[in-house]
Amino acid sequence: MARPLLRSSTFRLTLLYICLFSTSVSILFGFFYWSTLGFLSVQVDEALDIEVKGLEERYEVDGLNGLSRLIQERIKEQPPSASTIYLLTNSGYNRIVGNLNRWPSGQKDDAGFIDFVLEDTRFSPSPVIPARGREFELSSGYRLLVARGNKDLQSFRKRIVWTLGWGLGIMVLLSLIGSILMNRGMLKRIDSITATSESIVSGKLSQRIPTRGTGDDFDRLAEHLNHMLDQLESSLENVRRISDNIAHDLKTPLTRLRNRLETLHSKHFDSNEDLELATREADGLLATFNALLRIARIETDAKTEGFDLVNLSAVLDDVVELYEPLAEEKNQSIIITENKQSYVFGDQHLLFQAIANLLDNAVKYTPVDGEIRAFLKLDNQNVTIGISDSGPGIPENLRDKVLQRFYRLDSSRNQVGNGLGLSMVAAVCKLHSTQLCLTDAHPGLTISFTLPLSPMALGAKTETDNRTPVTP
Amino acid sequence: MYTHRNSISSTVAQSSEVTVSYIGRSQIPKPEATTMRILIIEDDQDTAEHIRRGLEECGNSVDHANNGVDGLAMAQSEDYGVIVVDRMLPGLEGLEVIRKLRETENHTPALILSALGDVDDRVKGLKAGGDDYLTKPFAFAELQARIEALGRRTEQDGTITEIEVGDLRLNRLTREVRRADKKINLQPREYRLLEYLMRNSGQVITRTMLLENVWDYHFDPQTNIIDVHVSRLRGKIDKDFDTPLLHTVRGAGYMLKP
Repeated sequence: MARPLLRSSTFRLTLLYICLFSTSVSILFGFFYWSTLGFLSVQVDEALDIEVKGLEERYEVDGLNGLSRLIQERIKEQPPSASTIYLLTNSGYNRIVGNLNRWPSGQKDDAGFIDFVLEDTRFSPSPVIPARGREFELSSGYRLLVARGNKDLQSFRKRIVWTLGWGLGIMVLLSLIGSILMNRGMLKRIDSITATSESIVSGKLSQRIPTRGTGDDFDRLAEHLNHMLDQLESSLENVRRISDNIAHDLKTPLTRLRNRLETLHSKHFDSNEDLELATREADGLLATFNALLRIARIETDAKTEGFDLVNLSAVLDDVVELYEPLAEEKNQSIIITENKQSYVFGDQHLLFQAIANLLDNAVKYTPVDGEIRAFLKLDNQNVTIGISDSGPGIPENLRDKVLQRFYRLDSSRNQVGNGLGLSMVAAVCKLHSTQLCLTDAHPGLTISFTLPLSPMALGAKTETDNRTPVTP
Repeated sequence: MYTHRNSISSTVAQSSEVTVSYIGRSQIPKPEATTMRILIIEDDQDTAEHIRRGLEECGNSVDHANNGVDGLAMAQSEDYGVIVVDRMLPGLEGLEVIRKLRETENHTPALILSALGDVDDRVKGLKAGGDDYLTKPFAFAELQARIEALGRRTEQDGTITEIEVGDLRLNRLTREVRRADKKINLQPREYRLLEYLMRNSGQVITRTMLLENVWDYHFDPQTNIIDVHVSRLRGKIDKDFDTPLLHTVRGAGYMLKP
């Protein structure tokens, strides 16, 4: 996956869910643990109680000797692994009979139970076993202790903890794996929506989000989005049709006006300066209108059908050749500092237009006797084409603004132009999925853009270049 | 469309000693070859009327169809020099008219008129079999120049090796240019410019036509850059001679004629 997992909101939600779930499961397990153990110890207590009562009854019937005998029998009868402990002492806690050598130290609680630690000397090193016993004072000051080592309880507790621990671990692991898988599935759907919207943003308005036909949430979302896109597309189409109509409707009378002016001018021969100026004004209006419509068209259509393999170095040479005489009139020199043969995939005419606009600006803003540099640099898979002028440059905070339509720097207001030149270049760049880069040329301004080299270029290099100028 | 002449007008003015007035219809100098039969297929009555009057005033005979179906029928039954077709037509679309015409081996030169001005649309138009493409709105002079160039194209022989205009001679094999036996050295682009002007001598050539045919690019120059190139060429072929050959046709373009 291209993105880090943690940044996916689904995954984060699942993580949160896993945390909450495992906390509640832990609480449940804890409750289970305590109640099971509690139940077990109550059972132990009851068993001890019953045994003590039985022994007490025997004492009352058979006296001390009977009791001692019974205890001895029980000790003998029980298998060595069993752990019932009997101890009968006199009032001074001296042992009379029993399988415990001395009275255990330990605090007796209100119900007569005592918790103590038992050392099994049969083994070495002797394991320490916690034990619980019931103490009973017989009528003549004799003391009776019946206790049980909690060895079983302890291993039982261990087993429960082990089981619950592993259970919890496996559960968390499984839900993590599940959430990653689920996340992947979700991301796939979301990625398809993202991919569609990206291609819509890049101008392919007819794209739609694919549905699975299962009618699930994502399908419903996709259907709604698609419906929205349908409406958006049709209203955009409307807007375009309207603007085309406006353009058509305004341009036609404007042309008629221009042609009438021409006719009028011709009737007055060369005499009327005003008429000629008026014709030029009309031409200017038409040119602005055309440029504006052209930019809009490049931006909204985002058509790449006209794209073909373009020899960018030849285009740069052609533009420089076209503008050289203009520069020479201002005694400027245009220097191609670097022009490596490179082919890109694009619209030759629009790229020519873009570079021509850049060079046009450079000639316009470079002072008399100044120098203009054009370059085409290769790096790895890309080619950067740019023009540096030695004019006043553009302050850094205004560099974005100059790409806007009709924006003109205060310093250039008295220059000819309609403020659409760079917007056109920006639109052409956008069509070629790149953007204009304005940097300082110390002094002046460097404007450049970068295009990926065409992978087909290798094949194209062997092709003879029909643009090679002929020598007279 | 060439607005920003101010910045360079001084140079242009100096070198353009001769200016032929070519504005409107009344003063149009008659190109040597032509009156033509021209068919206009255009649904907009105003535009059609404007073109018809203009063309008739320079001696052409003009027929008009206001939809694609009639236009196609007329183009197939009559013999026209040039057909002017609008792209968006009721009935049958402009490109379809041309396509159908070409299918029947009718190669009458066709000029496509369109409000759509994309490079793409242009390419589509030319692919459909159109010979030239002009975006609406246009200066009448531009349309006229292009119609005349198309009308002549049929008569032209592409194999001629030597072109002569007055005492200016251009050899297409040796690429040598001489005027009154004096050799003129031209840059490659100047040579192509001159060749194009000479091949269409006696005809008005607009700046856009030069851009499209000499530079092979379809674009809108922000500056009147073509004028600078033409004035350089003029400096080479006209400067030392008494009779200028390269004329500026104001409001339209240029014309090379003796």
